Amino acid sequence: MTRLEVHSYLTHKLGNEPADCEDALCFNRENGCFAVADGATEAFDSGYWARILTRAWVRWPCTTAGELVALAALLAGRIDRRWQRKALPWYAEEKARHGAFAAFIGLQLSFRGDAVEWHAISAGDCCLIQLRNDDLVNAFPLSSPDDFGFRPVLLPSRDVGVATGATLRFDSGFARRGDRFLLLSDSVAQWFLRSYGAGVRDCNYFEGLLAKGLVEELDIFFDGMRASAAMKNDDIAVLRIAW
Amino acid sequence: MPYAAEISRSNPTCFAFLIDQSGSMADQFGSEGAGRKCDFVSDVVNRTLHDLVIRCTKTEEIRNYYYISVIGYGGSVQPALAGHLAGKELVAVAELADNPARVEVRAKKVADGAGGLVEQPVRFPVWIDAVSGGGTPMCEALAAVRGLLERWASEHPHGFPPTVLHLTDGESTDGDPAAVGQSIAALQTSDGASLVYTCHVSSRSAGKIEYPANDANLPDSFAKTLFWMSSVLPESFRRTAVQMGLRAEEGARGFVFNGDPASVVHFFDIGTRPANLR
Repeated sequence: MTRLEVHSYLTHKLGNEPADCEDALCFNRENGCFAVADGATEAFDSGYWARILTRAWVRWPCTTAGELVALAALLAGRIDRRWQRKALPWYAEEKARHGAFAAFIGLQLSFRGDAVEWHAISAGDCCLIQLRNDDLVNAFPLSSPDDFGFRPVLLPSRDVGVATGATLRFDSGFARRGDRFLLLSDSVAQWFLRSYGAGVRDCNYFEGLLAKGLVEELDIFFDGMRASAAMKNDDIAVLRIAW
Repeated sequence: MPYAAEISRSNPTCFAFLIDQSGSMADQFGSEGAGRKCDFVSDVVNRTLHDLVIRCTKTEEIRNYYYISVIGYGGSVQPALAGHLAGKELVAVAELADNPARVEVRAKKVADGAGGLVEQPVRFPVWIDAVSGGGTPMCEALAAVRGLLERWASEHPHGFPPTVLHLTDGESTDGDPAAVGQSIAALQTSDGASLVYTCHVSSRSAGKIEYPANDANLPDSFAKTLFWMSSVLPESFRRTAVQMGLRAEEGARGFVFNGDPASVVHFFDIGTRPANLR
């Protein structure tokens, strides 16, 4: 998978500390696996949950509901043990009882001759976008900026089971040489789709900065977007994969 | 656009609970055999404070997204928080979280997974106690709230505007509260005017009026005074009320007259909606 060109960008919500970031991303170039997760702000220790989900998935990729539920259940034990050893104040104990939640998207790429076959698995509103030249050829699981903000069903760390599996969504397809994939957490995905739909093409500028690895310019760009309310003030996680 | 400020640690908002603790709050509330109004109201306020604390909990830390005031009025006008916080008229939510007067264990019905319900013990932090006695010095109480919100707004000029949740069961015994009430609603931050919501409760089971847009159906001048003291619900709050199954047309005010126990629960839920705007 060394033919893949991968760039990432991760930043925290304006006004927060870097350690407060609850978005996470991880990739494994060797097996062609990429993941982005967005820990739910209202839940307990969701940033940690997002981090261990992405790390585990790119190591042990699973593209069926049963496998992902099993992986999540295994990881959930880890997050429980992390807190059970500590004496928590009443409010933290109550919040911990409800567990952590995260939106998640995982992408697995496999070379098939001169094409790439891709499989994606999703919980919630993190998005996969497939680009070809200037065209958006696929957006999964949400394809319109109006689809965001409706309390998506997230991957929980408590009561992971059949019901969780039923909420997962799957997609697959093929990519041509020159196609690019973006994995995006929710607010940047919503902004990207709105920008693309409006023909504003700020999204092209953003992708260009990302492809050149210009992190400081990306910081300036997204700080401005969030400060002007063109984008919701939120954590941002982005992976760009090209080949 | 007003009421759009992000609520954060550097830009917090404020909730002021103004609770009638007059003698009539000892009357029965709701169906026959139900408890006293003051017991029910103190439980709902404690539950609301609990929910505000939980919303600010990040792992083991509490983030100070809100400042909280609870003022009671009856025999006197005074801060109503008990325990270590007694006498404090305004506290950050982290201080509130760490200092309930006590934590009771209560039974809560939860699903047993087989279609039934089982009782489960839950911890119930208590910050205010049920109190009843004396008259209804509403003007003095509103003036106290205005004073503390003036100070708060001057220290947080760009914050989401403060919210006053006023619950009463009777007419003012120290004059006409209209002017002081409206002066609270006129307090501003750069994000808009203060939000004043009023819930009048009654032991009578009939005549409940919730979130009216005009005063046409209100029975007397007292009800109309409370109506005009209350703020028009911002659109997102109005939609929340509608989603709860309440009729709240455009222009609806944050006002309930002759409310029953369900009204009180809805009132505090709708009134603390800014807590969800982070």
